[in-house]
Amino acid sequence: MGITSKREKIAQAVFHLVFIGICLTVIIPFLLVFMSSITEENELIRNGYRFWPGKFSFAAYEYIFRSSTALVRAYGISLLITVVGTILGLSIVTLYAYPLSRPEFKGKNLFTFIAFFTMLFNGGLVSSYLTWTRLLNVKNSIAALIFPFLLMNAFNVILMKNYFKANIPSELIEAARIDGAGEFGIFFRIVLPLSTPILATVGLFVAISYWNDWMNGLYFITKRTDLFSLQNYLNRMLTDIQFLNSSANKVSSYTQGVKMPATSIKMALAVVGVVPIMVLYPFFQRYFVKGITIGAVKG
Amino acid sequence: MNIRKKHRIVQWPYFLMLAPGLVYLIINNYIPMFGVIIAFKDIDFSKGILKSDWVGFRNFKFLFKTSDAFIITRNTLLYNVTFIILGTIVGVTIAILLNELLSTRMRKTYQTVLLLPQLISMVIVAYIVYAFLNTESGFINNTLLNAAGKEPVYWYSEKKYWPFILTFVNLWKGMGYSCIVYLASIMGIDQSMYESAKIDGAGRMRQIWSITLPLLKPTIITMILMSVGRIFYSDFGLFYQVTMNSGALYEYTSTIDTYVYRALLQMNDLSMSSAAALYQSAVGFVLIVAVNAIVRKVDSENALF
Amino acid sequence: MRKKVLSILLALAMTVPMAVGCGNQSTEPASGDSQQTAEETASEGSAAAPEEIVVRFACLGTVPADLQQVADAINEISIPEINVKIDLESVSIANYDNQLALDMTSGEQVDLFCSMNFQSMMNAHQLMDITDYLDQYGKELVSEVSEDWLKATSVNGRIYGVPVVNGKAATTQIVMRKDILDKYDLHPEYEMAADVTDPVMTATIEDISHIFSVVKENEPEMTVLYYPVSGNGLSGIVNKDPLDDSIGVLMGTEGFEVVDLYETDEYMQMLEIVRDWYTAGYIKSDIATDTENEMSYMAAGRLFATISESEIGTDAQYKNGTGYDWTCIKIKEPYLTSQSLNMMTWAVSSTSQVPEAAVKFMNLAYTNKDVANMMCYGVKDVHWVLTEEGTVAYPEGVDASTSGYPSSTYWEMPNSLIADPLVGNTPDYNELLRQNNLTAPVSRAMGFSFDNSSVSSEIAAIYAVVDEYRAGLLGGALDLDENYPRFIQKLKDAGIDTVIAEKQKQLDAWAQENGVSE
Repeated sequence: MGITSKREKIAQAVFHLVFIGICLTVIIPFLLVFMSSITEENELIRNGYRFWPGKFSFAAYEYIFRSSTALVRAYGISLLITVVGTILGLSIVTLYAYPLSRPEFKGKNLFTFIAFFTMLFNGGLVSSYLTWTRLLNVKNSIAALIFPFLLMNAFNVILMKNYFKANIPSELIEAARIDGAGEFGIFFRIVLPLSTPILATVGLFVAISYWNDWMNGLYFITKRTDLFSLQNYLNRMLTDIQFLNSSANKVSSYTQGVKMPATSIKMALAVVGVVPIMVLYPFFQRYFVKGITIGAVKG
Repeated sequence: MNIRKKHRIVQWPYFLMLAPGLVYLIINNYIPMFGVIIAFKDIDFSKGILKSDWVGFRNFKFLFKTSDAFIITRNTLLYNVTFIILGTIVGVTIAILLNELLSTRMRKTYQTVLLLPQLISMVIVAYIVYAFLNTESGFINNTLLNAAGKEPVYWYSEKKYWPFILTFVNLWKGMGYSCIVYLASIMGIDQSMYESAKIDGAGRMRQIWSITLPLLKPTIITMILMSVGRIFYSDFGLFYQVTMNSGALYEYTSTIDTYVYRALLQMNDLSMSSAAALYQSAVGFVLIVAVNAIVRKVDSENALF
Repeated sequence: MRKKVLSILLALAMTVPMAVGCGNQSTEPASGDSQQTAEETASEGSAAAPEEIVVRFACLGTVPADLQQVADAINEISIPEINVKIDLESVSIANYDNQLALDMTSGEQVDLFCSMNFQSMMNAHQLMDITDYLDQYGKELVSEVSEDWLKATSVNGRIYGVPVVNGKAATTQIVMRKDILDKYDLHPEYEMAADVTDPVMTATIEDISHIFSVVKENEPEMTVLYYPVSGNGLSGIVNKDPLDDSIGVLMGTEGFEVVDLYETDEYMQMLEIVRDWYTAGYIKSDIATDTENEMSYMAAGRLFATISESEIGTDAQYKNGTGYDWTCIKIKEPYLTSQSLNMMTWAVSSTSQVPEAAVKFMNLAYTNKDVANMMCYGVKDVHWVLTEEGTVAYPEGVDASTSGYPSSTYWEMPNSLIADPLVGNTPDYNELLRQNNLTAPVSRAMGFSFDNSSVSSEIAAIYAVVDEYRAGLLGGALDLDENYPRFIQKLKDAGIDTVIAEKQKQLDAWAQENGVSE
């Protein structure tokens, strides 16, 4: 696509304008969050939320990093579970989804339904907790952050199955079979290279769910504070503040005097949670895009 | 190659591939499903779940005790339908536009930015919305309306704005996610189809209309079907936290999830909360089976199961 | 094929959890047995291995990092004294009840904990009947806490927990900036009204309204009044016994008629006062949705007054937190009810295998000053130091956010009255609190506990209605003419009359049984 016509140039300019508009709706709120996090607390209360505060202060960040000296460690835990969880989760989902996409596989409807059914019904937290703690004893271990709930979900399975179905030509597979390739060989050497876009997509979804997760840490990590992930730290603070402000707080006459983190700290917590993935995402993306182009060449 | 041999080769590797996922689903999803019995029990901790007394459908009663039963059901359904329709349109549009961009570097940048809202929790989104809409110190009242010389708006007590605010927040948070799904499908489309269309003189709109969209159809249908199964659920954070649980807005913001939360906040009753969840899944289940049956009739290729 | 897979799945799904569920009971005794034998030998010789119990409390924000260190220090006392070894656990307050339910159903060991939901935990059988254990191992505890207080945590004469001992005589106070009062020469005559239902009360409210109007007029930059609506706001001035949940209450000081609080004249009058304040522009306009702590506004110098439900020493507390001087006016006399006592209760979990040990430790924690200090503030000279006047302060260079065991949860510990008081208070602070506890009038329904299991669906629906209106009404943001009748009607739709009738029935039976005269 070497020469771009004038018409094309105008079209491209319009597209860029649209995207810049959309991106602004995202960036502006984030900017407000960031600015509030470096606004002096009293200034925030006196003059409200501004994009350019009258008085800067990094007290909120000082508070966060001081109160959780293990915050750096928590970054490490988050990163670890995200990487391990994504690799495991992506493998297990891909392996489950592929057979479902093959018309010659006899159990495809049954197993699709088995996966799909889990989206509709669940036994609730109590029985899941019981299964994971009593049957598999994951409590207070790193496994508790990786295995329960997050490793595989039906949504991703079905996305992937559909992709395989739509984009892997059956003739290709049959041709490979005639050439004597085994099913696993076909899967690894033909199907996977053709599926990089969906691998990247599902991989990203799984990675985001691991990065954002804090429930597993909340329920399963009760003693080993060294296993707290970043989001676990942040959300414990946020939800406790929220609880103290809610009518569920029956001991409000006692917690009234307890000074909980103020607005600027809440905002700083949000920044601390987002920045690392903003920094890392372009690297992931480059890797994924590379994968996609390789796939395209091979296809 | 005879047919029998082919069949024998074909089946077992598939089961082997399925195995890890199946084991996981059994452990993570199917074994805990026995938990639905909690909805029919009066939990007595000293006896344990299995030995607690059965109480039939008593735990479901509170869902229908409220005079707002109609409102919460209506809100849940209407918001979900709106979100499904608009979410699909926005997601597909953004994906197609992204795909049309020539500069891959800009495409990556936009994509990263669009994904940002997905990375923050609803609690934080609630704070952001609050920073804009807060009556006294919020950005809109404090800076924008003030500068325009207009009266401040009491956002959190004016319910008429909220269907729009909530829809906007939902799209804002979800667009990065849904467009990626569609973008992956578009990228999987065989490029030669476009090239031959170009040779035939088809313009951009024509290509989108007759190649991209038809090939996206299965993905779109799947995504919609999957949302239908959760149509009785609502994003608790969106309807409770983003609205700051403001009572004045309930007529337009109260959903089944927020009602259940408010009712059980102080009761701490396991049985009633699992009854509510079971009710939501059951309705979703019936709907999804019905819709899937219709899809199967019209277009059997794209039915979910 | 399909059938086979399905049947295997079904079989798995049915049997595994059953095995697990039963396993709770069948695997636990193994450890329980060893603990029992340990206990038997323990009674023979003190050299035997101590019994281990798990003690749990709620934390705010983050889990204290030094729990183990504090537990070790406590064990240095408790092992020689009662041969019990404790393991301290702390769970985020927002997830506290939930986690307890999870752990109890899954057979996790939790023996002793601070319950902040006595009624619902009672109804779900989460608390163990400890009457006999207290008789045997808790004599000192009972005399420290007093038999009267234990009535609040008893049902049908059996004791299920022990109230936290701290200042219980909290009351509604208006807290105002002292320098501003002085500036406009406002000196509210405040005498505590002897009887709150007496008309003297209204005079006090008028005084306060007058002060507010002066401040509003002269300090346009200031918000006159703000309080978090998660608390009780001004509703604390309505004299009542909430009978556990405020759905059907006893009003005033006489009679045993259960009435709908929200329909009473007293409640309506209170709402009218608040609404007047709001329409006059005294109250922060977005009070109903503001989640900011009042301290933030007070510290920023933007707030003139707040309403607080608290004990003596509120002025010191606010001065510490904000840097300004505050004048506190009590606008109601304290009133002890079952709910104010059992709001926080230390209890033994009904799944505990070692209740004796748990009660032994309870006895120690309620009566031993060193243990009380450690539970409240951590290890001396590590987490806190004793100041010259005998109060507790953080050591040099440590504060609430860096401490490995912050003092911000002292109020939920078994007995903070025998511990040293926190810095900022007078050294005799705890003595004063104790006096207040003894002199506060006690509700005639003290010891009544409502079993709501037969009306739980009505109660859930009522809670949802109350939650819809409470913030708007308590903050004055809702127009009463329009919303109040709707609120009352919705409560009726949700079945409040059924609940009140049931409560009346139980209360009458209770009154008769306990010989409480009308």
